[in-house]
Amino acid sequence: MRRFGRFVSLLILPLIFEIVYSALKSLILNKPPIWSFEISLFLYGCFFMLGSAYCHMDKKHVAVDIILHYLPPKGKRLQRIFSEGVVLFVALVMLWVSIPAAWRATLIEERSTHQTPFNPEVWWYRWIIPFSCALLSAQALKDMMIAILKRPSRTPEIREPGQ
Amino acid sequence: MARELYPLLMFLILFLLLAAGVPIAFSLAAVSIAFSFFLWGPGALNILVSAAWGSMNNFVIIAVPLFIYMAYILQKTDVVADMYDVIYKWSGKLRGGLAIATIVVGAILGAVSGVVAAGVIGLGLIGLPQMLKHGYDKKMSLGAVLAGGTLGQLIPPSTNMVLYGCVTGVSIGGLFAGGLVGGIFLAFVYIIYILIRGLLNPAFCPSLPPEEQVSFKEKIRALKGIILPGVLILVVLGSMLNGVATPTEAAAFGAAGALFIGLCKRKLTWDIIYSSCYETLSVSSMVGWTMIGAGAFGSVFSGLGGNTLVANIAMNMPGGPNMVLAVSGVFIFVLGMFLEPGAIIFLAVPIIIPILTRMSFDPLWLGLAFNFILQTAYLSPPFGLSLFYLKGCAPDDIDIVAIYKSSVPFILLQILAVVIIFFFPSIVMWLPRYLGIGV
Amino acid sequence: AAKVNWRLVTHAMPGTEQQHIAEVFCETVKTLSKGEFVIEPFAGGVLFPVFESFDAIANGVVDAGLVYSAYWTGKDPLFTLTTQPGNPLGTFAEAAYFADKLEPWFAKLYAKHRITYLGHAVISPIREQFMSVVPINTLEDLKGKKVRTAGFGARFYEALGATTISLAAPEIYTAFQTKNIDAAEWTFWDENLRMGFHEVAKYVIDPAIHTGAHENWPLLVNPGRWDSLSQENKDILLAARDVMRYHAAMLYVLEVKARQRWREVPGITIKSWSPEDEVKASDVGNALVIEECNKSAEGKEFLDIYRSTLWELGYKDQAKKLGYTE
Ligand code: NA
Ligand code: NA
Repeated sequence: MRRFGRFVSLLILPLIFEIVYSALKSLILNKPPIWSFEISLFLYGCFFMLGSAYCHMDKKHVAVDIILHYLPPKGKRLQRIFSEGVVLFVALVMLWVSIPAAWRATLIEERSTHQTPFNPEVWWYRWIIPFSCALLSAQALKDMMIAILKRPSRTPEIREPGQ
Repeated sequence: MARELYPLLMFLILFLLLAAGVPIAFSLAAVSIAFSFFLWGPGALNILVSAAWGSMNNFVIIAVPLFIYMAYILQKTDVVADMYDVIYKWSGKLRGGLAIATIVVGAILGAVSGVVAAGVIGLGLIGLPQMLKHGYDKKMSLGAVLAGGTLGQLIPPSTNMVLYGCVTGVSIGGLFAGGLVGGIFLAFVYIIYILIRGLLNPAFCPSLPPEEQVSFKEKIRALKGIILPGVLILVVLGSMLNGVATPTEAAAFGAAGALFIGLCKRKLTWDIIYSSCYETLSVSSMVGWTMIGAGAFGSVFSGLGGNTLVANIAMNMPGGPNMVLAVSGVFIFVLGMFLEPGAIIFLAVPIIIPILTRMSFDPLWLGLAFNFILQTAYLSPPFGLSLFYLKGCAPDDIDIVAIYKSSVPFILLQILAVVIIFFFPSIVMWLPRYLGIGV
Repeated sequence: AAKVNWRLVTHAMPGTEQQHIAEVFCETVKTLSKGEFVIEPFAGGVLFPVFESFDAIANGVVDAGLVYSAYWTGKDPLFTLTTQPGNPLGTFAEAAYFADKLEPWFAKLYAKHRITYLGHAVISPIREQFMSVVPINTLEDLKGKKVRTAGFGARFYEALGATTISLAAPEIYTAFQTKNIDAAEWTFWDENLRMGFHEVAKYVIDPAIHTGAHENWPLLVNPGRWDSLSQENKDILLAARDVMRYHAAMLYVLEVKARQRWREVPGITIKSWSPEDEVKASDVGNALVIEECNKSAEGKEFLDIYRSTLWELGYKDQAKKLGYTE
């Protein structure tokens, strides 16, 4: 998951490059590349959606952890299990609903609603939702099992320099 | 159970889930799932997928990861540290110089982009560590970041004002002109507050120790370090305001420019480029999923008859015009504790504003006053997007309670500002009047 | 409580005249059914992003919708034909007549995508407005300009030498202000006043050349929900739709008034293209329509309906250009 997340995170670089390139081309030749708009959306959408499991693994999805501080260890563990359960529930429901949606989009070979001259096929982009949710469910399930089985909550990571 | 109570029940369950420490994005999503399923059946679960697909196709919010990446690069290549050191030197005996600088940078970021997440997280990464490093009070530092980063909703361009204008028919140009002076006015209110707190308590936001205060000549020399970032800001701002670039493009230029400055300073390493990538990913993913959750929650809330609830309350408001105005203001404020401003504009504004307009309040002034109040929705606990964005990028030892507490004085200042523009409307109205738009 | 409770979504902004028509529709249904059939209207973007309406109606997230068909070109390229560049129809009656002719065609198209089409609800009363921040007085001026448009319009303006982009409604104002776009085609005089475009776009071409009056809102319902209605409620729904058609026709008055208000705004120039340019543009549009229609059997069917309607209504030259034979 970590390796996958880090791979996904690199998408920000082509995103920057692509927008800067398009803007410059638009400025100099007064004609931006026709694919610019949708390609930025694709890069951004894949970036933040596929990154959700990685974000969850690092517990970077913000929570209001007021009560947490006052709970005894057992309560903390229950809280962990409950919280992971809710995340798992949401991810599974989204997974369940988004697969038929993506499948229908595939059948009609859905194209972009943005109606640019580029007009790319977007059915594959629909599959990013179930794929992200599958990753997220796997991560939440894993974290929940760890909390239930009461193993040490996280294997110590080798922190890389500069982090 | 009466149908009218469902919207309130939604708030209650959301509150419980939040209190139980469930991540915000998933608390919102879980409540939406439960209510849409039980009331409208399994087909309605698609609302969550719709919200996700909507976010994946929203060009405006692409600016968020770009700004975050820029902020990380500027921070890691010490550009920011250099800039704040210069400001620190320049502010000399003045207490609170760094917090004031944070507010000013927030206003500038706000003029570049209309996306609150970008402003708050940008400042959280840039300003917060510097203020803490120089011994500023934690609450003051957090508050300055929250308030400064959210200014972009008053200072144009502002998505909320465009929505407000479309919904009420008030001139968007008038709102922008009034918002510009209003935003600057609010920034001044913040700055005065910081100065006063600094005067009353020197430890709150300390000035430069006397032994480190330097001569004017040295101050000039110190400026050398910030020439490049200064140029970057000018280029980004200039390109946006001249219409050469959209806000999203300006953000991409900012990110590319930050990499360029890092290179020039010979501080940029592969490691910085790489680690900024995955730190940006975590924060952007948090922001994106929180927007999905908030979108779905707002949808289900409206669909459950939130409008009816709002309309019932609006129709039964007591007293004369000023009383109705005050009660509506309080009502919008309370909604803002639980909903994001966009949802409130669609939900409550079309019902409440016509009532007030009929009571002969100036529509443009009303629009500006309500945009001030709507802005508090970003900051007011328990559900405030700016609060969550800041938590997402602040150091781990800063908990949400500290952020909640830090927001309170700045919320009060915003309310104070609304009261001031009630008694002195020309503060916000002179520019629209001068330009002759919307009045 | 009512026996049937529905939710209906539109693509209009809350508080607009169009949204008001949707509210009248729901009110009519309630009155006719003596409170037994209640529809709650939601403006665009309140329940979900406007572009999600299609799936939402098909999936039953909402029961009914009043949303522009041209948004769905991504679902099926045939929706491109919602507008026809070069279409000369200029009045409500003509466009409503054409929409009635097309009703079986659209019903079949929507049915393929799990949506029941119940005919037109709101027909635009006049042509769309074309606004710009720089003067665009001839077709030649249009070359190299950046135009905000949608649907078939994108290909049309590209064919005329412009660059096109698609922007959501709330972004157009800022794009004008920062001169990110030179021109935009967007609905009608009244709505454009409300959106504040007269503050930023100082040049207007009237009428716009993209398309004539056309169906802006079809009445769409979820097939399952439609089938489960009693015959009486079905009749009520259609009767209320016809009340909407009346209000749609009356939008013309608002348009005339709003156009007058536009004319009175200081610094605004309203012009028309020369007849030669109009014909040239219309020919480019006709060629695109023929090309699009020839892509499929359904498209050819559409072309037949289109050109025979033009012929019937007296636009004989254009009908012939589109391949109509007596
Ligand atoms: Na702004
Ligand atoms: Na809030």
